Amino acid sequence: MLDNKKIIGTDYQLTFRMILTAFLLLLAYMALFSLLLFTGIPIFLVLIFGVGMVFFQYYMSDKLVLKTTRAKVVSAEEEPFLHQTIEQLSNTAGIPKPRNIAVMDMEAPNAFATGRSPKHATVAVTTGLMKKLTNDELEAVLGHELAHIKNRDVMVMTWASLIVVIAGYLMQMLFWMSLFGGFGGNRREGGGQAAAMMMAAYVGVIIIYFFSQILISTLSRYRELAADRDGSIICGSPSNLASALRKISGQIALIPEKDLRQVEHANAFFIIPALQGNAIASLMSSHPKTEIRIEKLNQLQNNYWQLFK
Amino acid sequence: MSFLSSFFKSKKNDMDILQSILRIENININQKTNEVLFSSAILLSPSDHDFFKTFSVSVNQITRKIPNITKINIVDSDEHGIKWVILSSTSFKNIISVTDEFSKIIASQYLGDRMIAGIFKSNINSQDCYWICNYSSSKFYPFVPQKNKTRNSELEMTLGHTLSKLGIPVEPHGKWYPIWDAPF
Repeated sequence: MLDNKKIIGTDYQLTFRMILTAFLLLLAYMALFSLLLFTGIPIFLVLIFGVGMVFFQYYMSDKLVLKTTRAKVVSAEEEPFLHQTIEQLSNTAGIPKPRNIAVMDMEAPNAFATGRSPKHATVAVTTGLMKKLTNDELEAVLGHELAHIKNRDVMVMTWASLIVVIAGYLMQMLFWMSLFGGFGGNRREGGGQAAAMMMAAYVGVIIIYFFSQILISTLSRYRELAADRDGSIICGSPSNLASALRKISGQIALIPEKDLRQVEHANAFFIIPALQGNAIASLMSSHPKTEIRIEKLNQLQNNYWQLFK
Repeated sequence: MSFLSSFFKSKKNDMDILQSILRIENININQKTNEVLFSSAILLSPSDHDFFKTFSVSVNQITRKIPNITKINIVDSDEHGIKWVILSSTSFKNIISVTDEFSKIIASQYLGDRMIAGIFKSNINSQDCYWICNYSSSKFYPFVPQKNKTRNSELEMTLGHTLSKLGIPVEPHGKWYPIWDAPF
């Protein structure tokens, strides 16, 4: 696997984008702490609360996710293909086999990886995914999930979202303060100035919250692209993952069977503009558009994979 | 505004747009320049208008006004009762302008609402591929038919995405209606 990675090289553009996003996130942190200093809210207390929340989430992520998704941990006897494939791919990736392999009884095709470290990782797939995909495609999806584990994405994303937790908490605190205390504006002399300051802080926290959300979502999309790339390297076939993504996204199922000439009379009603993909929704999306992922995988397949032939 | 510009609602001119499409094909076509006839078709839904009563004559009158047409083929009524005007030319560049001219003349006779689609045929990785412009939505989509009325949806998805990247408005997937048994 390492040899494959050496030959394929690094996606410098993606790496640069991730670094840029992390830098912007750092600026957001600095802005938040400056705001706390400005308003006199004790940073220490806020940090303890935020870190505590995130640490709990980080430490318990595998158990929490297994519980909320009702995924059932399966043995090698119950799901030999899953166990064998994950074991082989883990060896190739140079990570220990995840502690838990689970199956969710769900028709929707999906998969996830969680856990605070490769040793404590969990990989889960839905029954719908196993039914819909070929073995090669399923292997590609598992490779993608193992790449998330190898890249420690749970850790990266959980800790990166600390700012959102803190800003969200502050937003709520300031909201209730404004509701019940009017930011102190009516109670004491000079209260008007204090109220204006707190109002400015409230607006600032809201801006930081939404800006951070966008950055976290952006970072998440980049981590997905990196997992696509690394997963392809692990299992050796970007085209299998591209094919799996097409099936999972359900785009192909949308393509109609009726001939254009048969629907021609209905065309008069096609005056409502086609859904163009909401820009804000795209910004907040944790995953990149399927088309973009497929295109990147196709590029990988076309440009580099001939080296292995 | 010309036919294709209005189709694509793009700031690019017609030649840029279709040459963009041409680039998708890895320029296989360029190697055969002047050896292959490039074709396009315009699908028309007939009405009581005089134009359709003397369809062949009307089409011939129009095409006489347009240079660079090498061949015209008319399908008077297909299995859906639709009329096809198939235009051929010796270069891809010409087929674009020929289709553009022809469509403008039809539209000038207040028959724009009878035009269903404009189709350009090309070949990608040895597979016939049709680029369909749906007149009613002014959007474009690829159609790659295979045997037994099946289609290469995966290739279509890739081509559709490439069109979007070129700034060409693409139909949503739910409106990628096939046009089976195209007579060209």
